[in-house]
Amino acid sequence: MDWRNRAHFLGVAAQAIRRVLLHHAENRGAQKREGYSNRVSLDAALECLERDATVDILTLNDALLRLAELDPRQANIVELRVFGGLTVEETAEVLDIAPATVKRDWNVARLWLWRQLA
Amino acid sequence: MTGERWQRVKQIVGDALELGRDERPRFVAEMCGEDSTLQREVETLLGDDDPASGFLDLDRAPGRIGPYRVVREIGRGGMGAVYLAERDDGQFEQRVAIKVIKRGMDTDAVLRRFFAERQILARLQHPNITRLLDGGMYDSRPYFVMEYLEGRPIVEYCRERDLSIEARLRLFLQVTDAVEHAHRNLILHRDLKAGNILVDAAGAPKLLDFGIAKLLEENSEQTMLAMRPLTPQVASPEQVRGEPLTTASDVYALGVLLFQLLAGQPPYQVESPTEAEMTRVICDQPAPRPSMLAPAATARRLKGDLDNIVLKTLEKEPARRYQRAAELADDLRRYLDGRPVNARPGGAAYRLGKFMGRHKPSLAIAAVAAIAIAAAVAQAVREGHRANRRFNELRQLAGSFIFEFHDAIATLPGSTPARELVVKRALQYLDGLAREASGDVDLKRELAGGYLRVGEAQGLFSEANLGKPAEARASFEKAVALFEEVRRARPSDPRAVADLARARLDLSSTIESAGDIARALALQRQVIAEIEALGPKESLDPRIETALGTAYFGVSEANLRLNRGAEALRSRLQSIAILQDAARRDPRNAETARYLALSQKRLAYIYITQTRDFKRAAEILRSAIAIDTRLVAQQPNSSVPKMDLALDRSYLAAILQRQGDLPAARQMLESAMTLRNEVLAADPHNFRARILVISDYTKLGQWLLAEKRPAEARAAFETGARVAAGLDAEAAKNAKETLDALHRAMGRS
Repeated sequence: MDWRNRAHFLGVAAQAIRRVLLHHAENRGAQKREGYSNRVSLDAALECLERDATVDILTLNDALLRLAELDPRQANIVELRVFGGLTVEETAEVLDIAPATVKRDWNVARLWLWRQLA
Repeated sequence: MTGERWQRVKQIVGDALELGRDERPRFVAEMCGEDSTLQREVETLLGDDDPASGFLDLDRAPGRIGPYRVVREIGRGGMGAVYLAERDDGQFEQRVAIKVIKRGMDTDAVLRRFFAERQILARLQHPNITRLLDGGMYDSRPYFVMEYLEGRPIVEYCRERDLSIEARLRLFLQVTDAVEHAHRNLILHRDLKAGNILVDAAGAPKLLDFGIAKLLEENSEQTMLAMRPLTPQVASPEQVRGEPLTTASDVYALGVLLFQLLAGQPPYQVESPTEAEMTRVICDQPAPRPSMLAPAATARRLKGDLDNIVLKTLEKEPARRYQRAAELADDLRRYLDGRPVNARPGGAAYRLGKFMGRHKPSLAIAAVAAIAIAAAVAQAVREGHRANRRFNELRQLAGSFIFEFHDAIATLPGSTPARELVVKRALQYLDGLAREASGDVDLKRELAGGYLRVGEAQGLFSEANLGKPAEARASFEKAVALFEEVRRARPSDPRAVADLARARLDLSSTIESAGDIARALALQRQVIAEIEALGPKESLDPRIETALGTAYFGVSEANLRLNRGAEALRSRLQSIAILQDAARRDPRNAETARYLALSQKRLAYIYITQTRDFKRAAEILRSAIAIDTRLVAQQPNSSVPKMDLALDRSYLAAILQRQGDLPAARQMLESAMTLRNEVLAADPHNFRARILVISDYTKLGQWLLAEKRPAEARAAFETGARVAAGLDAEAAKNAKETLDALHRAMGRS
């Protein structure tokens, strides 16, 4: 497989997944308020994300938007890793930067996001 | 905070994280200098100890996955990581292997499929298959919990214990039984390889990862490419080519394993792992005999049966392999019992494959896949899985596979043996389903449609068929009974009406061929009465109108057989008027056009034999020829319009003969014979073409005698006899009866 294409695909996929989950989370909130109970499998994905990592997707998204203002590339790294499920190495390939840089940016972003969400 | 300032914070925090915890405060103080705000920001992020522990921690081995406590990582591969874990909720004490699927596969569709498939895999219970115990979502990734097994890979196990060939075969047979069990549950393994089979402490082989490969592979094109096993030791030619996999693909993988167990090494060695090289080796290079690669001591034992068995599993064309693991196991048991084995170079399956392959390369594969699916569904029915949704999906899959396949080849010259095979399997499948059909109208319709096609292939005289009228009649009767129930359930559905009418016509036509004309006639009249009760003809759906026209056609045929010429002519004219109207309203319906032409040529027949009005007969035949010529052009590969056109020509020949122009009549007859011989040559199993050709030669001989050319007449009779010799005993008996009927019907012209 052409690595460039794969990298491109992974990048787009991460964005798409983020958008889908976000959209779903918003709808779910709205439906809960209106008393609907519309369980789809995305709920399971969201619950796992939220339970295992104590992350609320909407809050995480807000924080990521703020991070993007400070450091667009770092926000991009978070998006690829969290929503795209990419490893450090894959993220480095997609963004065409060194894995060590990804790792540093990721580690710092994790701490920053944790403070934002706390 | 500004972006610039953030870069500074990030720099310091990043550097600090790479230091030991106790070195950090000094480093931070040094870097921040006077800037106390900066220092506070950095310290907030770093915290006293790792404050964000566990938060968005994507890189560390999990401590817990669901109710399981992770002991350690035991493997990592393309799909994700495998952990050894224990259930410690106080309910069980059990060690399990947990496979956590890599990120990037957690899209909505994947998750949905994952939860659905997990249920199915969980049902797969066999002593030689490691059980899927549980599954769920961890960190938004799906995971599977499998029985944890400590054992040796099967090849090493055999080598270390220096097992005899018999012992290896007995071990391997347990593996084939496990695979067969999965196939019966409609699950392919797709990634059977030596490394996926462990032998446990008790000496029992256990298959790992059943069905998971498929589950992941189907997620998306993306993962399919990534997941396709790229070890030539495992991949079958169809897998390398990216074609659909069947049970025969797992048989291939079993063959590779058997090869390794017997010869001590895999069948192929690939020089360079490029895709082109792999494709060449797997798809083109003939598999070596295991005896060629085995140590001399075992090689002697492998020559002959075991070589043949292994080679049959490694055939490039799936259709030439054992179709199921059970067939392979059966042959191995024959070998162990000292009975003759089925595997030998170029068996019946090979010939059939070649036969169909001449016409369309994918036919053989499709037929085999259809049959394998049908057999699996029949089995599922027997095992009572009917209630669930998956069963219904499979039912549709199998049904459409068989019948679409059948329809695709039904009119293809040379397809009769393939149809017979499909028909046989289809019947097993249908009979299995019929017992379950109560109350499900769609299932009944599907079944009835199946019986109809099966009956037509078995022996509807007007179509290419297998010359088995009694079987055909039984199938039609089943179809009619089922369509009647559909009709009762959906009285206003035009399709239900048209379907029932068509089934009754097919039934009455076989009844008529068997000589029970009164009953056939009654059946046709019933069709007419029911349709006419629906309202005026113009208001009918064109499909129903066509059914009505064909019913009048049938009434006319029956009356001719009963020597009621006037009644025959009246209903014949009615059928033509109705079919003309239907053809006008639905000009693209080939069935309507065909029955119109058929009615016209049989009208010409009445003019020829009853009223001797040759001019009108020739006139109406020209219209039929125009329609049939168009249908031949539209369906150049189909034998049906060719046979119809041949009939037109033979009627014209009859007219010329009655008008006394013997040479012109004979020439016309010969032009009809050319078409029929063409059809028969393409499909020697086409019973209808064969008996018409026999009849043609008989007629030709008689005409030549009348022309006082005895030598040529004798040659024609002899050729006819030779063609007749091509019928097998039962078919010859049927042929004689049908020929008699045909001669009665055609007035011994």
